[in-house]
Order: sequence, then structure tokens, then C-alpha cells
Amino acid sequence: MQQHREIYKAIDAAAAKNKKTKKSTLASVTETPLNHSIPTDVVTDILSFLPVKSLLRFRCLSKEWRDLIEDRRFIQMHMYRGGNRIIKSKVGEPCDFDIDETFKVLFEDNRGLLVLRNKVNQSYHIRNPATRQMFDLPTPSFNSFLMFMFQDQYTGLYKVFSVYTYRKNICSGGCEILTVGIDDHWRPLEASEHLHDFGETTEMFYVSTPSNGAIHIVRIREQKLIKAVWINLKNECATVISTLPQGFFSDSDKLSPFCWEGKLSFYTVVNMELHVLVLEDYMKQRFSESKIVIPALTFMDEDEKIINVNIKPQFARDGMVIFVLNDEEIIAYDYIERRIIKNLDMKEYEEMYVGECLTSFNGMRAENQQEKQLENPKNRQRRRKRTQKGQKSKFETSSPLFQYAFLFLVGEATPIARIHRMVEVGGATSMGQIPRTVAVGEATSMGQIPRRVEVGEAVAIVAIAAMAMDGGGTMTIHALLMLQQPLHQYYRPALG
Amino acid sequence: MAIMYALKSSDNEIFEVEQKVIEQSETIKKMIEDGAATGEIPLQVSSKTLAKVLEWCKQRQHKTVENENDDNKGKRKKERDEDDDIKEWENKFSDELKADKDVLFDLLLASNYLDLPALLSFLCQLVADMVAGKMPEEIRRMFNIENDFTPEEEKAITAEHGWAFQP
Repeated sequence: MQQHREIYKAIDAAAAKNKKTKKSTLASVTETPLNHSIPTDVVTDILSFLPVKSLLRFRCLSKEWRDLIEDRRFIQMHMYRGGNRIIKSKVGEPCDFDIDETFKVLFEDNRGLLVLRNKVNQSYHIRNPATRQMFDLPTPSFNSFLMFMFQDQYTGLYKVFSVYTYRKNICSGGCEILTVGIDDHWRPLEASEHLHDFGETTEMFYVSTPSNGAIHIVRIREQKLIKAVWINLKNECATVISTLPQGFFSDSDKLSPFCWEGKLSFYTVVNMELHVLVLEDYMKQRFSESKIVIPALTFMDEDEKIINVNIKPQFARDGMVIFVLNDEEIIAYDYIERRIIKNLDMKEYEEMYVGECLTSFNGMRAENQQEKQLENPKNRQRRRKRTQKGQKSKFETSSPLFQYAFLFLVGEATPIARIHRMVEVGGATSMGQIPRTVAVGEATSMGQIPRRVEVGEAVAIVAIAAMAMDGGGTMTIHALLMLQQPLHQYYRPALG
Repeated sequence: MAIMYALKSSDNEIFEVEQKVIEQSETIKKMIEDGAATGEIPLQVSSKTLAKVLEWCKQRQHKTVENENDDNKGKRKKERDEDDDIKEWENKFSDELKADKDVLFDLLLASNYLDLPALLSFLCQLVADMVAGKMPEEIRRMFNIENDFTPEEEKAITAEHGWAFQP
């Protein structure tokens, strides 16, 4: 920590110095009579509206333009302007999907920066598709299964945060962090101690609020809150809560975490109503004074067809609560105007959010030939769609968007296979030793999922119900299916 | 009765403007507050450019007044309609400027000088749209920039992102 404060100080000093020199250049420019004599700050303003490609081209105009375009504050300004591409800011989201056989995306921020894992050599990278550059991250101590990147607005520095599980005597979890371009290795976080028991029977859920650099990791068992850990990535401190305030929910209420306008919240459904308790201020452990009650399930009466269906809230954003009906149709409820928005065009919703930035890190390199092939706007589009339909983050366990189970194998040497998520699996009755419905994150011992044939069997299980994820050093089973269909459609008794 | 101010352009033309309209200019607002705005306010802006500036300010003023008169109910719908009207007006305004680049750059400087943030950023975006697809040589001419790189340096910096030079 101390070391970091020093770094911040140094950066501030550098920034102040930079500011001074900037002023003098401004003066010299206004003194030089040009045709239009456009002052530097106006030029900066103009440039901030340009796409990345134009800016990279205009770096060769003159030294002054080059310095301006490479200026950290300019990069920041440009990022929030985003040129004429109107972009609503979206929270950066940890995700998990394959681009191709080699690369997996672990995180995508609202400016298109990606954190990738090379599945072949287990290396980790940050990619800026707009500048076509890559940054090679040091190898994490443990294979990460949740990565999150965040930019400290104050210093402009990026941090990558990783959550992992490993197995020594018992299955355990932890987290580490890295300041990009400054740290040459991952630093363990004190918050790790709060995650130690997260490797056990746990349903995890996260809510991230990148604006203040916070990430919540919530542990839920049998729909009761066990623990919520809040990690402030800015000062790298953690806070833990294990109980909710009295008087909001009864003991019999089944709680699920979800994200309400970027804040961690818990909901339950009472008499067809959605009751939400929002954690307004985690630092002060202050919850909203009253529950938000949404007559979500009564408004369904307007259309007979959608009464009494399986309906679950996903998240609330921009004044809307997003629900999924019967695991397929997505509807939104505008809780300000109190109306339903059906046929939500998720494509439009997604496209709005694609941004770009000039961000570059010390030691960033141009992409190599293989990496270059990653970018194809068409692929990107397809990829987004698939993510939407298929594989949200592994942690978004309350998400019924996907009626699929993930079989999460921690690695070949690990005598444990963790069912990452398993919801009702229609038609897959031959699951034998695996209980039909398994709590998310539940660890199933070797007795239940055998290891080798086990693998074979697991493959069969995979074919029935799940996608196996790699997690350990060697992959036991590769992702077999990009599930986009209900599981039973993938049912096959055996797989060669 | 609205308070009027007289603005004098650099070519000595007088423009009579309502206080509310011209107060959008932070520069003039400050002059008024400081009590420095007595009689004619001389501005280092040509009459042609000043006319454009005022055209913008009046349009903006119009919009603000309407918004104040709205009650909250139905505001969203109304805002949407208004947005369409404003868009149309802005398109016309920018088309005229695109056709005459000298006016555009004069207006850009005037909005900077008069401290009209909304107009400034509107114009910056307009210029950005115009230059986005252009090649370095065209931009150097447009902004009157001297290339202070040696041929070797220029070659090196160009090579760093060679793909950005392809159309």
C-alpha cells in the first residue's frame, strides 16, 4: 500500500509538471500567427471527438500533435467523449467466452479493452482492439476464474483484479491484484482471507461498480446470505457483511442477490411482488431505508399469456428492471413510468455500448499475426450475441437466462468436480450420481463424479447437461458445447 | 421588459440583444456582472460571425424557456419532439458552416473567445467529422501545421500504426 501511495504521489507531481509545460506551449502557439490561429485547447477539443484510427494517423502531423495525442489527460478526455459515436456508459463486465480456439475473453470494459486468456499457453493479456495493441500480463499465481479491470480516475492507472480457487487441503479461494504497467507480479490482497471459504459449497454472485472501483462478491447458500465481501479496488481494502438489517425480510424469504442500478441488492418475491433491498452505501453499510416494491408480477395480467410463468429479475439499469420470462423472452419494466417494454431489442442495447480508446500501457506491443485475426467486426457482433444468449459470467448464478448447467472441473489432478451451476435440467434423467438439481457452486466429491472415465462420464454429463470449464493447470475437458439451446437438445448418452 | 444590450462587432456594426440571450456567453456574463457592460460592448468578432453566434444563442435560449414552462407530465414525449426540431435546426446550421470553412473557423474562435461551451463543442465535433477521414497532409494544410519531424522520424512514427493510414 505504502509503495502505491508513493507512486500516486509521483504521478501527481508529474501531472502537475506536465500541466505547467502545457501552459507554456499554449502561450507559444497563440503567439505564432497561423492562418486560423487555433489555440491548443480548441485543437484538443476537436481531437477529442475523433475516432482512434484518425488520431493514430494524425500523430505524424507534428511533434506537438503527437505529444497532445499521447497525453494521458487527453486520452482520458477522449475516452469520455468518444467522438461522435454516442455511447452510454456501461459498467465493465467480467465475462467468459471464447473468441476462437486460442483466446478466451475474461473481461470487457466499456471502452472495448479486453482481458484475454490464451488457452493454449495459459498466458494473460490486455488487448486494445482500437489501437491493435496487446499488453502481456504476468502469469497469475493461480488460474483466475473471475477477472475484473478497473481504471482509477484519479491516477488514470488500470488495475486488474483476479479471483481464483485452488485446492490444498480444502478447496479454497483468494484474490490478487496488479497495477498495469507498474507491477511486474500479482500482489495478494488482504481480502483473500474473506474468500478462503468461498471454495466450498457456495453460490457466488458479483456486482461491480467500476465508477468507484468496487466489486462485491456475495456468498449465498440455500438462498440465505452467508457473506458479502466488498473489495474497493482503489485502496485495495475489503469490508464484509454477513447479515441484512432486521425487519425487511422474514426468515422464510428466499433471498437472491442482484444488481440494482449498479448497487448490490437482494430481492425476494412475495405475493407476486418483487421486493428489493438496496445496499446504498457499502462503506457505511447503509441499506435503503425502505424496500423497493415492484408490482412486477401483477402487471403481467395485462397479457393473459404471461401469467404464472417462471419470471426472474436480472438487473435494474437506467430506470428499468430486466426480467426473463420462461428462460427465453426478455422483457423490461420501466419502474419510473410504470410500464412494460416488451420485445426489447437487446441488439440495439448492446450496440450502444461499443466504445474505443487510445489507452496504452508501458510495454504494450503491436499484435502479432495470430492475434490480428481476432478482430473482425462481424465476429464481434456474433460474439456479443452469443454472450447474451449463452454464457454470461459463471458467477451470475441467479441468471435464469441460460438453463444450462456448467460443470466446473478444477483440473485433472483435483479430485473434485464442482458443479458450477445447475438448474432444472429438463429431460436429463440419466445423470445418475449427480443430483438432479444441484446448488450452484456445490462441490461434488469424487464419489459422485468419477475422475477419468469419470472424465468420460463427465463428458457424457457434459453432453447432457453441462459445459466443462478448465480451471487447473491442465484442462481435463475442454468446453464442448457452446450452449445456446435448452440442455436436453444436447442430450447424447455417450460421447466418443 | 427585457434588458437589452448593444454589442459592437469588430467592423462597427451594432447588435441589440436581450440579456438572457447573450448571457450564455460566460465572457459577456462576467462583464455584465462586473458592471463593465455599459453602453456598447465592443467585441473582437466580425459582424458576419457575430450574427451566427447570436443565431445559435437565440435558438438555445428558445429551448431553455420552453423547458421551464413545461410541467413534468408528458415532458419526455415533448422533449423527444423538441429534440427532433433542434436536430433539424442544427443540421441546417452545420450544413451552412460546412459550405464556408472560413466562417466555421471564425465561429470556432469566437465561441472560444466568448466562452460559449455548448457552441464550442458543437463546432469541434463538426470539425472532427470533417477531418476524421483525411490524410495527414490535408490536415497540415487545413490547420497550417509545420511538419517538424525529420523524414526518418516521420517514417518511424508512421510505421507504428501503418494500418491507420489505409482508408
